Amino acid sequence: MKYLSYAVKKLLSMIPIILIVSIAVFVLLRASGVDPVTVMIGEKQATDELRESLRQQFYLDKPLLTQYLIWLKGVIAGDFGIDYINKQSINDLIISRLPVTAGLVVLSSLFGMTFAIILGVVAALNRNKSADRILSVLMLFLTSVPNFVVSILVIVFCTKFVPGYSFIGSYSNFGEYLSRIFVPSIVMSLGVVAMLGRITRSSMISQLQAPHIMTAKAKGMDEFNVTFKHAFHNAVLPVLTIAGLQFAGSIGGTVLIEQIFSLPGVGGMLVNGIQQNNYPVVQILVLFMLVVYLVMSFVVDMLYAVIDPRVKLK
Amino acid sequence: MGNIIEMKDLCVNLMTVRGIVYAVQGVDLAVKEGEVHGIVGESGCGKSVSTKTIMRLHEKDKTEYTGSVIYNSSSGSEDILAMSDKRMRDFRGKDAAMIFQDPMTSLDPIMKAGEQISEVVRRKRGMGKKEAKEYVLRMFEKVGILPPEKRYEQYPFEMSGGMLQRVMIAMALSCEPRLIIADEPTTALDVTIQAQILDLLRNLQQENHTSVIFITHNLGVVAEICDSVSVMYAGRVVESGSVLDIFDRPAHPYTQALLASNPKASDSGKRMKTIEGAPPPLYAKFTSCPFAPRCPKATEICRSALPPVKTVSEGHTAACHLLNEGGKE
Repeated sequence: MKYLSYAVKKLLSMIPIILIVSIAVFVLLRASGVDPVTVMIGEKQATDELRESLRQQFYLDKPLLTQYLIWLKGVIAGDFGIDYINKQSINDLIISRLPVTAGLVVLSSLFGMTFAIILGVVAALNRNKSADRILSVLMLFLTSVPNFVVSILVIVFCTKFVPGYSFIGSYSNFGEYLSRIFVPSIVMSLGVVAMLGRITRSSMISQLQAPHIMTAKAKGMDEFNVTFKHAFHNAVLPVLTIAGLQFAGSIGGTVLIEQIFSLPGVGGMLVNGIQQNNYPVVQILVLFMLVVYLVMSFVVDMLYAVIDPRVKLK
Repeated sequence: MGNIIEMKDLCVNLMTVRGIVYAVQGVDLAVKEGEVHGIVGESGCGKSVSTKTIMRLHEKDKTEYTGSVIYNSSSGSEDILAMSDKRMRDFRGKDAAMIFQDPMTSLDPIMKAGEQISEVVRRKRGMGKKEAKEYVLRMFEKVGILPPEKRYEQYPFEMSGGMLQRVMIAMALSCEPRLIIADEPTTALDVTIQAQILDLLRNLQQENHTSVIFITHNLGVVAEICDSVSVMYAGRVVESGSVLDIFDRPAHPYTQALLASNPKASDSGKRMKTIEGAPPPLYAKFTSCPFAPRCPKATEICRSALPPVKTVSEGHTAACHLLNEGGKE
C-alpha cells in the first residue's frame, strides 16, 4: 500500500516532463523551416490546388498552437497520425517495429546487469589477485572499444565461422526474433557490463570493509551469509542507481545497433524520419524514447524503494 | 577462579600498504573467569588489535600471528589461533561476543534491528522464526529497548546511538557467551547515555557472571566498572593488576603519567597535565623501552634494552627497568 501511493506520485510527476518535451520537439522540428507539404510531395510537380488540399488535410493551415493541440489530442487517444512520406498510419509502422527495439532494450539490460554483477562480485572477492586483474583489464578494454567496432567484428566473426547464421532481415516467428536480437543485445550490453562491473567491484569492496561486516563476522555468521546477505545487499544499491540511468539511456543506443545489424526496429525509422523531415514520425519516436526512459527509471526507483528502507516514500 | 583467556607472548603483524605494522609485540595477558578486565592506553597502542585476535577478526591473508591465545572452557583448553574456521564460527557469538565502538555503523543499515539478532539465534541456537522473534523481544525488554515490538521493526537509521548500542549489547548477549569484548562501547555516545550503557553492562555482567574485556581510554570508566586492568603502550602490556593496584600504587612511569593527566576537580583553573610527545609508530619491533623517549625517569639502560616484566606484588606486574622485584624503585 505504501508503495502504491509512491508509485502513483512518481507516475504523475512524469506528465509535465512528457508535455514539456513534446512541445519542445514539436516547435524545434518546425523551426527547421522545411515545408511539410514539400516533404509530402517530394520531387514531383504539384498544382497549387493539391498543395492547398494537403495543407488542409494535415491541418497545416491552422496556427502552430492549434496544430500542436490536435496532434496531442490524437496521441492521447492513441492515434499517432499519418506518415508524411508513405501516407500510412504511424501506429501500424511502430507496432511492427516495436518488438525489436523493446527486445533490445530489455535483453541488453538483463545481460548487462547479470554479467556486471557477477563479474564485479568475482573481482571484489578476488581483490588484487589475478582474477581481479584480468577482469579489470577486460572491463577497461570493453569501455574503451566503441559499440560499432565490436558489432562489426562480431558480424565478421559470425558470418565467417557460424555458417547459416544470419542477423539480417526480418523475422517470421518468435525463435527467429530471438536469434535476431540475441547477439546485438550482447554487443549492446558490453559497455554497460564494463561500467557497472567496475562500480559493483568498488562498491562491494567498500562494503566488505564496512564496520557492520565486522559485526556480522563477530556474531558468527558464515562467509556466504556475510558476503551475500550483508555485503552484497548493501553493495548493490549504488549499482542500481547507475544501472537505471544506463538502461534508460540504452534506448538511444538501439538507434546505432539497429542500423549496424539491419534490424527492423524503431531506431532505423527515427534516423530515416530525421533525414526526410518526416515530422510526425520523429515527434512520436522522440516521445516514445522519452517514455521508455521514464519507465525504466521508474522501475529502478521502485526497486530501490523496495530494497533500501532509507528511501523515504513521500 | 581460573583464567578464561590467556595471551602468551602474542604478536600480531598487520600487512598494510605502508609496510608491516607490528601492532602487538609480545602481549601477556590473563582474564579471570567472571571478572571485568579493563585495557587502557592511548590510541594506536594495540588495544583493539590484541582483543580482535581473540575473535580472529583480522583479514586472514594480511595478518601474522605468533604466540598463543588460550581459551579455557569446561571442555578443556584450546588455542584460538589454531582453531579451525568451523570451530571459530561456532566460537564467535556462542563463546565470545563483541560490542563495537560505533553502533551507528556497526549494524547493517538496511536490515531491521530485530532481524539482525534473530538471524543470530536462528543460526546459533536453532530457533524457528517465531521462537527467535519472541526471544529477541524478551532480550530487547531486558536491555531497555522499548517498546520491543516497535523497535524490532525499525532500521538502524531510525534509532538513536544509545538505542543502537543497546541493540549491539542484546546481540552480544543473545547466545549467552562466556566472554564479552567491549571495544570502547561508550566512546561514540554522549555522556548521559554513556552512564546508562555502563550501568546496563555492569548489571548484565553480574547477573550472568559473564567475563568482560573492556577496552577504553577513559580512566574514570575503568575505576567504575573494572575488577582488574592492563595498561598497554606501543603494542605491549606495561602494567597489569587489580584496579586498586593500578590506581593507588601505579608502578610503571607510564601508568603514573596517565593517572596524573586525568583531570581532578582540584585542578580547576590550572593547565591540564599531559604526557609530552606521542606514542611511537609501530613499523619496527622495539629493542629498548618504547616509553623511554617520553619518560621523565629514563636512564641509560631504558634506551638500550627491553624492560622485562617484573612482579610488583601478588597479581601486580609491570615492565620497567627501574623496578626491583617486589616493587621498590
